[in-house]
Amino acid sequence: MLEFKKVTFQYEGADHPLIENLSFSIEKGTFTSIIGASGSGKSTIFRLLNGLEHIRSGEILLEGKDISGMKNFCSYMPQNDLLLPWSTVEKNVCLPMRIQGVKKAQQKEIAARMLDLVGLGDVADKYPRELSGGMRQRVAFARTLCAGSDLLLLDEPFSALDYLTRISLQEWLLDQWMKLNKTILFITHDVEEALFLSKEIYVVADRPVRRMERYEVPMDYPRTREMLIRSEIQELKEELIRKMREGDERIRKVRGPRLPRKG
Amino acid sequence: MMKKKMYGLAFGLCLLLLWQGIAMAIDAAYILPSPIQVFKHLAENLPELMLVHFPITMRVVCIGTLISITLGLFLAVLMNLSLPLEKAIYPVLVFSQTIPVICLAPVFVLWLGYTEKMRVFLVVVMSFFSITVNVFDGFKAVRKENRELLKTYGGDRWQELIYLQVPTALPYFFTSLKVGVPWAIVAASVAEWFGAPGGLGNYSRIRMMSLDAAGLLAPLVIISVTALVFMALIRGLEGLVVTWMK
Amino acid sequence: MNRMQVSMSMWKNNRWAISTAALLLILWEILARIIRIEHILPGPVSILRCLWDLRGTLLIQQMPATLVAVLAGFLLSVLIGVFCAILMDRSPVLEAIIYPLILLTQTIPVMCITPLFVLWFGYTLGARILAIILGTFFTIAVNTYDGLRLSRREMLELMDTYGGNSRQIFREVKLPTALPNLMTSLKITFPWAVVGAAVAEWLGATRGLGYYSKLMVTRMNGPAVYASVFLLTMIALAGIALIKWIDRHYVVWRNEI
Repeated sequence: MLEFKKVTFQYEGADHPLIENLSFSIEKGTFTSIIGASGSGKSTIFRLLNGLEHIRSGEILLEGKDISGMKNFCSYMPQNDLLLPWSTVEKNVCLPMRIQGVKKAQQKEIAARMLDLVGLGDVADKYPRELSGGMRQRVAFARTLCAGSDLLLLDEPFSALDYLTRISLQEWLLDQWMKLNKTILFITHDVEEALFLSKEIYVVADRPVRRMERYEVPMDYPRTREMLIRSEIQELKEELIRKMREGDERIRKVRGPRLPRKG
Repeated sequence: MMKKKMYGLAFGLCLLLLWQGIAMAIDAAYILPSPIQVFKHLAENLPELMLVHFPITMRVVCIGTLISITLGLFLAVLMNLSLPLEKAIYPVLVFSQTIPVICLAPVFVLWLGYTEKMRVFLVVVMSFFSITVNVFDGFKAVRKENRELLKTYGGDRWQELIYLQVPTALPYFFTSLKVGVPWAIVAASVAEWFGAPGGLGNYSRIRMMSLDAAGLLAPLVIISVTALVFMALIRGLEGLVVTWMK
Repeated sequence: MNRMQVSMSMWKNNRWAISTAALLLILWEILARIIRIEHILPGPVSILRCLWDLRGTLLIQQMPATLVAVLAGFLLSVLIGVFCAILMDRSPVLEAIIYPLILLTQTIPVMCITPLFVLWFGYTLGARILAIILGTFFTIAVNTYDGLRLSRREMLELMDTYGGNSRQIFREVKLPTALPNLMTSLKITFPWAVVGAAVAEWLGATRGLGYYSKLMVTRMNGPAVYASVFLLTMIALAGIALIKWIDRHYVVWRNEI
């Protein structure tokens, strides 16, 4: 569904490209994680997809077509919930639809549906400050769904939450994905999280990023946390950690002048 | 900051030119005098302005500011040393920052007449509140760890005051001066509008009655320059004190 | 917290100050009765009586004149200030032009230009309104502009990914973000609007609380001076209270920006 073809990207003012000739592809309906050490370039891949940055060369294709002409083909969920503190939950969830000019009646209907989906149908009139961290991320997820596309980009959505909330949201997210049939690209630095959630894991371990190591997780859906204890999963986990560490070393060596960090 | 100041100067110059242009176009000196006309009036009347009026206003400013500083520091130290006093006085002070104190000027005229005392009083009332509040906040801004450290050395209240609170409060004090002194100058001028034998503010008002717009604005130039000079002096003093402390 | 509890906590927090204020008032009254110079130091009771006696003059003739000037001037000031802030936020060129203007006004005491306005507008409302605007709109502009720039970059980027244009981004994110700063600046500048009106009236007016208080000084009518000055102060306090109320009830996201 999504294909990166020989994509090269460099931040303005940087000495070296961050991504060079990178190619990979994602199949429709899959749950794929991208992991790697901080600053390795994972978020940059997302920024290339959601239009905040533009590639220098190469192509990014969605269902065979170049994305440079397209709008709203992916929905981005940032690390912080970024809910507007001055709006109710319902108004927050409607935000992408408001911007896209969806009719008000339709907005209300879709918002109600999405909030029900994430199990928060009864807080539509509350304000973000009245909700817990986990609930706010779920509202943010509902908002992401309301942006309307089939490709979801989730950028470390649970990293700011405490451990218990995080694991219950992971289980919840899997549940949602299986119901909704979306294609999910998930960034995390937590190897176990990636293992639990995704079918495929890409490791960013190079600078510039020329290729990503691809691993397949030998677990069937639906998944439970007990499946993580299996020895082949534990071995895979060690392998992934090893790869991440190597990548981190390599990046430290290459990282000369600091690149303009764009968060 | 430098760049912004350069921009400011450049823009000020442009404004001046614009002002000159508009004034020449309108050509009605009693409505919009041109900068040249203002400076002309200034130059022609400089002796009178500087020798008669300037001292009248500045006397009030200087005496008023000195009293303000003394009173302000005294009250701040007092509140600092006594909690009940602080609780009694501080809210009143904060409240006084919200009411427009200049509006009370007619009452001061009732008390002190159209005298220099009244104008000094207005200046004091306008600036001492902010000096008190700021210096007091400065005293309170001492970090808890520093205070505890001094206690472990066996320091008493007075030593805490001198070695910790005064240095911490100094920047606050100078900030309050930088705000208070220009206001003192303005207050002195405004007070003269009630009635004074002379002074820059009074001069403006009299020129206003004669529909002499250029003459009205001339003292303003002196006031602005004076304010700038005072600010520079305060900044210089601050620099000296800071280096002396080191 | 219910009303009773709110009142109780207000008393608890401020009991020293309230007691001091009450004590001062009582001392004042006693002092006034001892001195017995009505035209200089009337007691609070005498002032209140005067307020009542002159309620016709004060409330119907004098106060509306000042009130109109303050409200009109302040409203215009807010409009101009916010407009300038929006302009500065939209265009760095405009910021480079307007910001130095603000620095300039910090050096020139605007209140001292009031005689020029009275010269232009005579004893009419215009002088007061202009004095108020020039005295207050810069603060409002600067504070609102700072507020507009507080918007978090991630939030603006998220709006970008939704495909929002700059007008939508302004309405959805920037304006609400700037509102707390705007309210703060209104709280600060409203008293100065009252001052601007009063000061302009002292220079030249036919009606108004400032004008009246000055007139009553010449008539040596102490209580009337105090009464009109008291009303002026009340206008300032009422305005601040109103702004604070609006702030508390409608701009509740102050700490969440």
